[in-house]
Amino acid sequence: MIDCNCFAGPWPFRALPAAAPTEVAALLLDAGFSQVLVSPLEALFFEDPQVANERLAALLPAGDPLLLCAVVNPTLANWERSLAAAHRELGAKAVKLHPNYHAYAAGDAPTRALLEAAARAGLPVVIQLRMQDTRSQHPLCKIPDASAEAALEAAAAVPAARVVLGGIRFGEVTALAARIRALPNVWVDLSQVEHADGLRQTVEAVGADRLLLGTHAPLFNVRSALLKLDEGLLNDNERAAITRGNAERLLR
Amino acid sequence: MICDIHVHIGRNVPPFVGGSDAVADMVARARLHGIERQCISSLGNTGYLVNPTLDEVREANDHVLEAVAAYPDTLLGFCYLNPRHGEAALAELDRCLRHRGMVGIKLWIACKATDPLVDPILERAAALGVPVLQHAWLKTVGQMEFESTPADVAAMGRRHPRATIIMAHLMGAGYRGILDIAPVPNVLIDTSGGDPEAGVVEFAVRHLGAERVLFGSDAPGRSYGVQLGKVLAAQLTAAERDLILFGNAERILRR
Repeated sequence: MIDCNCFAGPWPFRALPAAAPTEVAALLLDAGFSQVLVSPLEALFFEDPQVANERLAALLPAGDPLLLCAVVNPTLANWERSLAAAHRELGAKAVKLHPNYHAYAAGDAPTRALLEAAARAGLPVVIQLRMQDTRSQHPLCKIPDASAEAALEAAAAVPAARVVLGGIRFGEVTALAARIRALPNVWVDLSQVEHADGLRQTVEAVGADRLLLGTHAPLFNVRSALLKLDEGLLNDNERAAITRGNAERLLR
Repeated sequence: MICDIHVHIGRNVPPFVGGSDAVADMVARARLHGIERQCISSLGNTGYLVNPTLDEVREANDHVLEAVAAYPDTLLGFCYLNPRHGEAALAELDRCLRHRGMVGIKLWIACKATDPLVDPILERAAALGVPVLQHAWLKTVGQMEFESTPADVAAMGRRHPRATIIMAHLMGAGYRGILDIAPVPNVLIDTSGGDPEAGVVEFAVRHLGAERVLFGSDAPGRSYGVQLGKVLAAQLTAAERDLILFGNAERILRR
């Protein structure tokens, strides 16, 4: 299996059962994953996320099951250099944006410029819509969710980009299903899609070929992501696509 | 055997993909994970009703009674009450629990747990030996009017030490809420609702003891599997896990 949405590093609001890349890798390998797209949690809070990318990349040896998903802030003056360095020097296999933590709108010009650059570099881009339930955030650290609609607008504006809607919720998927289906360059991360019939309805709404298994580990339990799969009444082809095939195409 | 202490039904809940009846679909979906018992309540047949009329409460509870009758080996009924109905709420309690076999009471956000309006219901629950499932959430944003916080539920527990109160929503309580109820031994917590954040179940067991933690999902708005994963992934002893998954429910639902 391939995990398309995982993190490593410290989280300032509570202790995580796994934080160091070796601990996160052990958690995921033990659960049956062979490849994991991992991005640094420190990048949400550092003024220049590239420093966090470098710190994480230094801990990921060649051949490691953890593959760097570099965080880039497209509103910084150095973002193009950061993107190129993350790709060529740090070996990043994908890029992650945190519009809400870095205080910009997912549909704005900087996002589109980054999507164009990432497309030229052949890197998929995860637009992370949220990290945690806003209701449970620290009372002095309120980070509103990023807009799924705006992320879709950006994806529509740059059809050459491969865009993953990271941390999207079930209600957003169902509300935007037609739009997602109409954009062949958009994938849905399942890490925060939840309802008792949520995975099955999501498969019906956007198609299994657009869905990516994400755990949101180590913030979320890996076991929950796997039990969600079991609840989706997936046939063999759907399960293979969601757990591996779609990610392989995304990361081609 | 796993018992889910916190599940909702409603006539407005559509069938799952390929199904024809939401209750039947929920029973089948839960069984995929070994959840063979579900404690169900309805917060209304047209949606979750914050301050339902007496008729709306009765209609919701009638739906629960129908569902329990259809799946008597699987479903256990919790009676939704609006404390603002006064004596009529107690009459509905008696109808559902004394005469129709429901096993618990569900209170949501019609009024806060600190409101004296809830006291007659808690007294009757204590007398009957049935648990009260009280919604609670401590929200950074979006706290609803009359929505109880864990501190409110702790106060309720102190006022009614003979009542067994299950405070809903572990992630809604958060670490602060777990600590709020820790000194009140008759307040338990269910694991339902919120995201499957790692480490929270362990924190609850550390501060409350496994005897005060019950598995709940808050399905169908939440996934049985995702919510069950919170307990199965937690670093617990087998005995602690068994208590959370069914032992505690078995103990408190025994009348």
